[in-house]
Amino acid sequence: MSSLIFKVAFMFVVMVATVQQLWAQPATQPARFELTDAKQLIEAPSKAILAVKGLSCPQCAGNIERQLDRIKAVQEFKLDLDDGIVTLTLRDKSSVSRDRLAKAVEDAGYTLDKVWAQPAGE
Amino acid sequence: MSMKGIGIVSCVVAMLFSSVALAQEAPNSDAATLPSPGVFMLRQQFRVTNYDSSDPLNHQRDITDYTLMTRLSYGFARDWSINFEQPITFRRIDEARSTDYNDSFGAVDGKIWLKWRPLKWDHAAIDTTRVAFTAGVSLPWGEDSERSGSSFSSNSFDPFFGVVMTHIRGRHGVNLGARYRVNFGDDDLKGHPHTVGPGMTKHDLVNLDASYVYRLWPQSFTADSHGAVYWTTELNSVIETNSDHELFLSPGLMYEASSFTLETSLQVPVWQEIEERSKTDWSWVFGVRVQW
Repeated sequence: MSSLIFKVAFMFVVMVATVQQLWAQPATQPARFELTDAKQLIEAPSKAILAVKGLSCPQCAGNIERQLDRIKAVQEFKLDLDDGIVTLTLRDKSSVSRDRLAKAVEDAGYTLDKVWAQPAGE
Repeated sequence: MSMKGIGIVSCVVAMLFSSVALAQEAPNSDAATLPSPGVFMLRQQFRVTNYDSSDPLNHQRDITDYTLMTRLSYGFARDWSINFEQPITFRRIDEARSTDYNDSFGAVDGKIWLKWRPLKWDHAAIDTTRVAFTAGVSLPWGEDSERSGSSFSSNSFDPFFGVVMTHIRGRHGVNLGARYRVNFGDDDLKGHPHTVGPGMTKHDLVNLDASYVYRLWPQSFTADSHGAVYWTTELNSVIETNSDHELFLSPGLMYEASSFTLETSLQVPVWQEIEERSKTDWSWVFGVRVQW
């Protein structure tokens, strides 16, 4: 009987330790974060996520793409017009500042609301 | 081409575009839009305009203008663009008492102007309100045809200025614009038998435009949206300071992609009070805009 109680108690301790260990496991990737400082940089391989206001038509997509294309660090451009979300893939070992992204968006005729850096693989 | 023929062509074009999907600037009205810095926009419109044979000048005739308008715009700074427009026109006058046509062909007065958009409120991802101002001058190099008596020029440098507001909310867009053109031209054209177009008499010209643009397709944009189709309804009024005025209703369709736009519209008069020139009977326009 005491042997059975010992086994059950042992299994319980192992289970609690395992759950505790899993709970405390740190995330493998840091979450995306917002850039609030104009000089703050986003570095490849992270992606830049831009929330833009005023993109009302497909022509607007062309306008903003042309301005973002002038930034050397930008390799790929993807736009969701309905949400005003622009996702930029950066070239290897390159970086771009929030300030530069804001200039491109304003030059295109729109308003930059927020910018996030999204680590690769997220 | 007869009016029936034009009507058939208009319907075919409209059907073609309704099968695809389009912009915020309607075919016959201005909008508070302009190319961004370093970007060119070429706009070409082919317009057929027929003038009423029972005009107040009491000439039994049928006048049709076939006009190709070319406009080049360039964004030279943030919220600034410079624009140049040059139409050329072929005019056919069918006099009731003659068996021959009276044709003339030539350049119409060009225009050059600046556009400045100082006011912009972007409310949400799609919603926006913008206001732009224009100021420029028409260039009196339009040709006069001695043989036909047609004039394509006001024969003066005529300054003009205007304001336009654009408001877009979801699938709906509204443009309201006003423009005033001072006419410094001489009095030679007043009451001239072949004075047909607005602004060709020695009077200042006021244009008041209202347009409603509705996005037919897609209902919502997605990451895969590359174009859109818009239905446009415009009210275009032309008022001359001699109190001649015309009000047009202009339904149309547009297809807009990221680098080009196709547009078509039919203009029909709903109100006319004309004494010194021919009345406009109808007008049909097809155009294309390209950005690079």
